Amino acid sequence: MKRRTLLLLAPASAAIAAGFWRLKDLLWQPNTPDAVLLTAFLDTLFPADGEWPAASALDMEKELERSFAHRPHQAKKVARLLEVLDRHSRQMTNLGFAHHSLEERERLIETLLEEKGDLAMSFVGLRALAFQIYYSHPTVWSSLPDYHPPQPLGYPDYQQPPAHV
Amino acid sequence: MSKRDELEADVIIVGSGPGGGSLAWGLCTMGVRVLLLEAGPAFVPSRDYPQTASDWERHEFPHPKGSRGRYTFAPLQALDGSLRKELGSWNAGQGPLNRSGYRSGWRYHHVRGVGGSTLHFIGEAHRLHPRAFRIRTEHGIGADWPIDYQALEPWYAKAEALIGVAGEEEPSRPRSSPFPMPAHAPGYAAQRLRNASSLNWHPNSLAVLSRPFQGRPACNYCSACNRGCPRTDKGSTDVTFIRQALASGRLTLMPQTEAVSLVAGPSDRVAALIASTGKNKYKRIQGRFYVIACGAVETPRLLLLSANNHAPRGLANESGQVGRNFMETIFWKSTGLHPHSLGSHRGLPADLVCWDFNAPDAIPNVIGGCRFTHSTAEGGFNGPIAHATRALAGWGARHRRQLQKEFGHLLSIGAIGESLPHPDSRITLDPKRKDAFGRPLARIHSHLDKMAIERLRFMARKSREILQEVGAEELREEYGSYDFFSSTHVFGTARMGLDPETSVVNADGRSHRWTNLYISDASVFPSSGGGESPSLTIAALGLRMARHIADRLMRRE
Ligand SMILES: Cc1cc2nc3c(=O)[nH]c(=O)nc-3n(C[C@H](O)[C@H](O)[C@H](O)COP(=O)(O)OP(=O)(O)OC[C@H]3O[C@@H](n4cnc5c(N)ncnc54)[C@H](O)[C@@H]3O)c2cc1C
Ligand code: SF4
Repeated sequence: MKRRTLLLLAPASAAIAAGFWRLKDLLWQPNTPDAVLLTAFLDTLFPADGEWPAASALDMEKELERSFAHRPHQAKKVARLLEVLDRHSRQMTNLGFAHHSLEERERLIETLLEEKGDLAMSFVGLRALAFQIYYSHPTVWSSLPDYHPPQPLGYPDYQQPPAHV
Repeated sequence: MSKRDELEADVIIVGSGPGGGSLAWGLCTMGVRVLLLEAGPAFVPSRDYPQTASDWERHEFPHPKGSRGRYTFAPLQALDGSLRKELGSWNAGQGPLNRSGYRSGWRYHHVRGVGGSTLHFIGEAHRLHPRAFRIRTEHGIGADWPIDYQALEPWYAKAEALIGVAGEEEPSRPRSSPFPMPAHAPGYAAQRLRNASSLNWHPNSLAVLSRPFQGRPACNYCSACNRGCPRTDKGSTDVTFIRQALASGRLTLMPQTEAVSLVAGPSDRVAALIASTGKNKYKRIQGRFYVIACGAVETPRLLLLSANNHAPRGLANESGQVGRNFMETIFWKSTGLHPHSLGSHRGLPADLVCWDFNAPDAIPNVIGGCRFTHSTAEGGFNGPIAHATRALAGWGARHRRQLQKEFGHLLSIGAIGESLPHPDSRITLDPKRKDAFGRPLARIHSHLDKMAIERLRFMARKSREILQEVGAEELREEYGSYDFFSSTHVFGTARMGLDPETSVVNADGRSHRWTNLYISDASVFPSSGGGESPSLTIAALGLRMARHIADRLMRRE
């Protein structure tokens, strides 16, 4: 091939390659969520704040991954949700979701859910699962007033106003 | 089948819920040898229930393999747009809960296990309103019972004494003896509710011990009865009737044994029962009497599946009424946020009850009553996960701080109302879906008519009014039967009555035609009552039936 032809083809092939990656982005569906994305997402739901630990300080992403092992369908849904979130972040800011500050990540989740209503149910499902794991942790629930697992203590003081009042 | 695969007993009971369990106790204590077959496993309370675990709230009632029956729903009715605003289910955390245009078949809540669905129940132990027995005579709809409150009263008293029911005398239900246990004092949230509400609230009568009884401790008010009671103070059938029946030495209990069919024989008698004890393992079981106590969904299914040339339309289905008159749980729940901390995650799940609208004509312009309860913990708001997920929108640091601020402030009002028979509410055999034995599954058909919807509207309006009076007007969640079928109480599919044309069993629970076949569960209820929980009535009927069968055995019938 002549040098000139090559030079002519170069922009075209770059465009083809870019198109290919965009297409791959659209068609490729991961089966499990990306670990970095998942951690960033969970730390947006549960950031460190005073006595409250961040999700990552509790290794929540690992527990979620364990739970996905039994629920491949859910794993796929979450993976897709995070993929779309990451793409949304790149489109809006040229930067992946995980690279943003907490405030920016919060904003990105909000704008994505406003724009893509069809993702709301996946988000609601992931939010519920994440709350289940986070609030099951003793470090977390011990910050709530007058609360502990129901047994073995029960609530013998149930007739009284709560102790913290 | 070889000889080894055959068994015999005086009375064979299928199903170990309150219907089968109370009957087994009654018979065993009168010297009768009983074989009790149960499709599900036996539970060990201290091992199987989750309340001590840090992540207890993630675990619903445990359902080990084989402890949940399979069934299907026929398509449910379309929802009316204007009513959705008033009666649609929603919560602050998740928005509308049913986004389809149709009522959704969520669940027939039940347990297959020794003790039946009482393993999962919250222990309400109610007597039916005396006028519920005569709803047809008084109001021209539904069906009368062939017995009245007076006939059942001694059996109610006996069942309460055996279970250890705690309650407070209440004028609408006359009693021959006081409650065996003092009532539970209402919790702090309930006290605030009772003080602020203009309605009459009573301590709920509960199969939950307020004093130690028969080696079982008193309740420690942990709030989580519907996940199973690890202390055994909740009077589920396994730790009351069945435990005592086993102690008599006359009960043979066979868990994980499913009755596959009954064999209708000549001379209007059931000849045998075929049961499965495992994969490809069957037993032919013979007795003098056969009692079906599988609950109002599985009992009609078993009868219909037992069709043969002696009973071509299904066993005991000469009238065509088996599976008809299905009545469900018509329910409503509103939850609001109270400005003060109530610690409402503590205490019994439904500690106060209001019977003001329970009589069949107590709701203006509607036939069929309802009752209200304080039900914050019953609705699941006894832990942070439910509050965070359902009662609060959003996420992030603000959401968490808000949860910390308002945990224990939620207050729920629950209502259950009368369910009346309707031609489109029934149990049939599914034309396509089958169980492991290749037998059709039960198919639930449910229809809410105009009257049911009016009753539901009243229940919703009143629940909101109560919350407003109490100061918890900021609503956080509401859900009910309008857009979901979700039933814990089911009744009516093998109704008792005097007329063999319109009922399946007579006043003793015996099939009108098959002289050694009985039904002992909620399928015999001709009417549901105005929201009363059914287990105590089921147990009272079971004890009454025990007396009747024992008498027949004595007479060598
Ligand atoms: C969450 C929840 C809360 C509730 N709260 C209350 C309450 O507070 N008070 C109250 O009174 N009621 C309550 N109920 C309802 C109550 O538990 C039921 O109404 C009651 O248990 C019904 O009794 P039953 O004997 O008719 O049937 P079940 O209790 O359902 O028992 C039927 C048994 O038959 C077995 N069976 C079925 N088919 C076969 C077969 N082919 N072979 C062998 N065995 C079979 C089943 O495995 C089951 O164990 C509640 C229910 C639930 C789920
Ligand atoms: S509240 Fe009482 S009856 Fe209910 S599970 Fe707890 S200890 Fe048992």
